[in-house]
Amino acid sequence: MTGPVLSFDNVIFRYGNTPVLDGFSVDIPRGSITCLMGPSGCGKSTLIALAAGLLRPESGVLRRAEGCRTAPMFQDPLLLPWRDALSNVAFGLKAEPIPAAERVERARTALEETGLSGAELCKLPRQLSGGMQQRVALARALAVAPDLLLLDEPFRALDPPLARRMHARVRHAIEERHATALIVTHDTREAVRIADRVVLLSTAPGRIRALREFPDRPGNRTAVEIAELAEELDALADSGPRDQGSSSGGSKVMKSRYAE
Amino acid sequence: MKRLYGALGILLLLGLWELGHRAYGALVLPGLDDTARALLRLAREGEIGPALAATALHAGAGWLAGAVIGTLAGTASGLRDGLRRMLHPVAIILLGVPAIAWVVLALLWFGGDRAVIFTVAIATGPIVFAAAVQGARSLDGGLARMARAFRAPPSAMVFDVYGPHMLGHLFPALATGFAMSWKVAVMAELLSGAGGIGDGIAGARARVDTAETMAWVVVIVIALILLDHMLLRHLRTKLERWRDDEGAAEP
Repeated sequence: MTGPVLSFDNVIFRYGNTPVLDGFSVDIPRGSITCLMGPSGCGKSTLIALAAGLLRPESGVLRRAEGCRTAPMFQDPLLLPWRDALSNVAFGLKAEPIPAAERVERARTALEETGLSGAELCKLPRQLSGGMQQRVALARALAVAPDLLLLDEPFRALDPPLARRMHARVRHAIEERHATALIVTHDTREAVRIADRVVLLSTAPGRIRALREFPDRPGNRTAVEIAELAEELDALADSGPRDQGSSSGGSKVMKSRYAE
Repeated sequence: MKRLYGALGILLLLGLWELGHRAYGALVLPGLDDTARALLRLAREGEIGPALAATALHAGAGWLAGAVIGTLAGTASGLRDGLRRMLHPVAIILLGVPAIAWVVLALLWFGGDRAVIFTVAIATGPIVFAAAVQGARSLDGGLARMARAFRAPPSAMVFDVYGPHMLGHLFPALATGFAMSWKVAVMAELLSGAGGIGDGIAGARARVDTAETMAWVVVIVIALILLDHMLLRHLRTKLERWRDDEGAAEP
């Protein structure tokens, strides 16, 4: 991992009079998968929208690496209801200066890599189950081959075996291109399975309660390690508030434990 | 089975027509055979083609003008509250004026073809306007946000995001307006003498030729049915496939 591809520096954001983020600061290193966790309403989705450039911070600085190409996946799949699965994925590539045939081919490949193929490609969103719609939205984000993948609860409608396959798919996409991912999740096991780092947010207005960095690659973790790390994260999430500075100590503890 | 029931309905209507003819006589309601003969005569004399073409031109031009103005004004009003508040009562007033009153006014103002086209446009425009307002007001902000996040170019925003959504709202109004435009055009032609089927009906009425009047009515009904079957249904199926409940995913 090298320099940050995305930096939040003392970001403050509010919706009307409701404060959502209060002095949020974190660097997202290139080539990493960072999971954002925290209670509902703490500003996780807002962070994704800020990172995607859809919102602007009220104050503070948000820096994106130069030429960084982002691709988001929102909580709601936000598929075009009048386009089939293939066209929905191809839509994500409309900004690319490539021929339509190549766009469709890349969309087809991305869909196949998320386990959708054949007649499913020609189905309209309303003809797809919730899990399938989420996979179409994931394929749309992956098809772009982004430098920064922004995923907001991307696996929540998937059954566990399929979710694990999608974890592997996202990890592969990130590692293959040395890309970066920022993923919102409520599932600590999922976070441990997929992430290099976990950022725990406080209740609204969101600040960082803890930042955990895992020294090993997620794919190398055993089931026992995943269970133990998830338990630790759960305990941390249930514990009282911490300030941003104290999280680095916890991070070091975790590094020494699994670095061997 | 659907076709059989449809055929039975038409047979019932034709039966009632024939019964009416026998009860009230040929002057009030000509028989089926007299009407068919009048229709054949009009066809042989080459009157149907030019009359249909003239009515199609009047209806089409008026409908197009009403559709363009209604869509543009309605979309702008849907996106701007002030404009909507200003134009909404205007549309209500225009809708409240009977089409026949517009015909009379248009004859005084323009006369001829332009009177017919104006009447059709002013009758269909407010319907399209109302649909465009609804369409623009219900644009899905989430989809627009998604499209912006993927840096969709303006053409993709028009053809993939806003266009299909607006068309979903506009199509029923455009189809209704299209059918209405033919009826209004015939009515305006009847009073204006601008040619077309309405002019044919006016001539038949002047000669107290009820069979020919009915023949013209049959011509316009057949034209509308054919347009509906050959054009509007296909378009409706194509454009509204994504709304259809059949084939929805299992929950």
